[in-house]
Amino acid sequence: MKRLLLLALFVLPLATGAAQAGPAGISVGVFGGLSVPVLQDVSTSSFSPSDAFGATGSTWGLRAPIHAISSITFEPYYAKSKYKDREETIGGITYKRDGFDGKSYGVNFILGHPEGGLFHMFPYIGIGKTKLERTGQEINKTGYNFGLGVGLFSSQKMAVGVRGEFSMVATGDTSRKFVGATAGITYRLTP
Amino acid sequence: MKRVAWMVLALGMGLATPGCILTSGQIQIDFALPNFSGNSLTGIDHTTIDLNSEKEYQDNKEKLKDLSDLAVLGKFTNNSTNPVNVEVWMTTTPSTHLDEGSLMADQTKVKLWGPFQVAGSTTKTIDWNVSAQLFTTAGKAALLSEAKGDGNFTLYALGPALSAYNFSVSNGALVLVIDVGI
Repeated sequence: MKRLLLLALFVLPLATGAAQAGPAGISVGVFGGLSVPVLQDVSTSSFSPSDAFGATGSTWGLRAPIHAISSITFEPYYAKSKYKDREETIGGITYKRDGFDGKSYGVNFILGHPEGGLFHMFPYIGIGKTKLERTGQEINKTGYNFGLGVGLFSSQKMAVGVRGEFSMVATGDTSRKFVGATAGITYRLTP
Repeated sequence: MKRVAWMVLALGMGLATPGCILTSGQIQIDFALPNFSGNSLTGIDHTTIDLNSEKEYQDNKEKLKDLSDLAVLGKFTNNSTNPVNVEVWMTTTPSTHLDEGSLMADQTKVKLWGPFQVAGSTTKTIDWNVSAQLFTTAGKAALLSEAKGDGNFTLYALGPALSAYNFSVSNGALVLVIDVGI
């Protein structure tokens, strides 16, 4: 898996760049926002639709969009996330369970260019490695995500956009899922 | 634009597919435990658990894939002046052992959890995070096997072998978070 990711991160952009006559457009950016667990540690006996979403956590990280061919942008990323502790009363005693701390890295495949102007939309899918840790539990598996980004501002060097994303970590036949919304800013290193 | 529509359609089909890893979740089930005690002189208590007695388990048993998180919770009181290390053992078939010796002779016994240390003459409520760390690998595997099997097993709480102990546990609960395909 690690090899596959490294391949995707480095060889694909280079290969596609080599196939092009012009240089690849490379940017770097930071992002931050919210991430919410979906259908995690729920109780079905008293389930209501709002219980499907856990306590809101935070996420932040780095992205480096590499626009080497006209229709696809490759975007290696590194992200960290932090989810809130959960309190629950069981047998008359209130207990606290740690929320996950997450780290992930991988690559997004963006249809088109993520650095367009106002209301420029770009769907994307991604694959990576995600580690979720809390006391007594560690999940270190392949993660998948997909989402839609919307441009808010773009100039010659800078671009600002927001993204809505669904992500999951595959755990055998099941998965840990999250939905999130982030805002990011990118700086173009090459045109 | 056509490509975007195809992507959305493909993702939508993936979401709707039964048995897909997307259509899954983690469900928490709490099993209340009766008050029980362990005494090296007078014997040990046991409680037989039938997972089928919980509707949440019944409803999800066929879809159960794995155990995601576990905890033994409760208030531990050490009635002795000496510190005690409490362990929870299980027999994978229901049993009624009254002393440590007969439990250890049971071929289906598995150490499930512990040790959890309680200082002499004190009461300590266990922290969920601490408890989650105290499950043994063999215990987790046995519990998963039971959860996927008949769901019927017996729990025992005891102190270290060949030592004097006297403790009790109240407000006890066994918490299972199961991975289910929806």
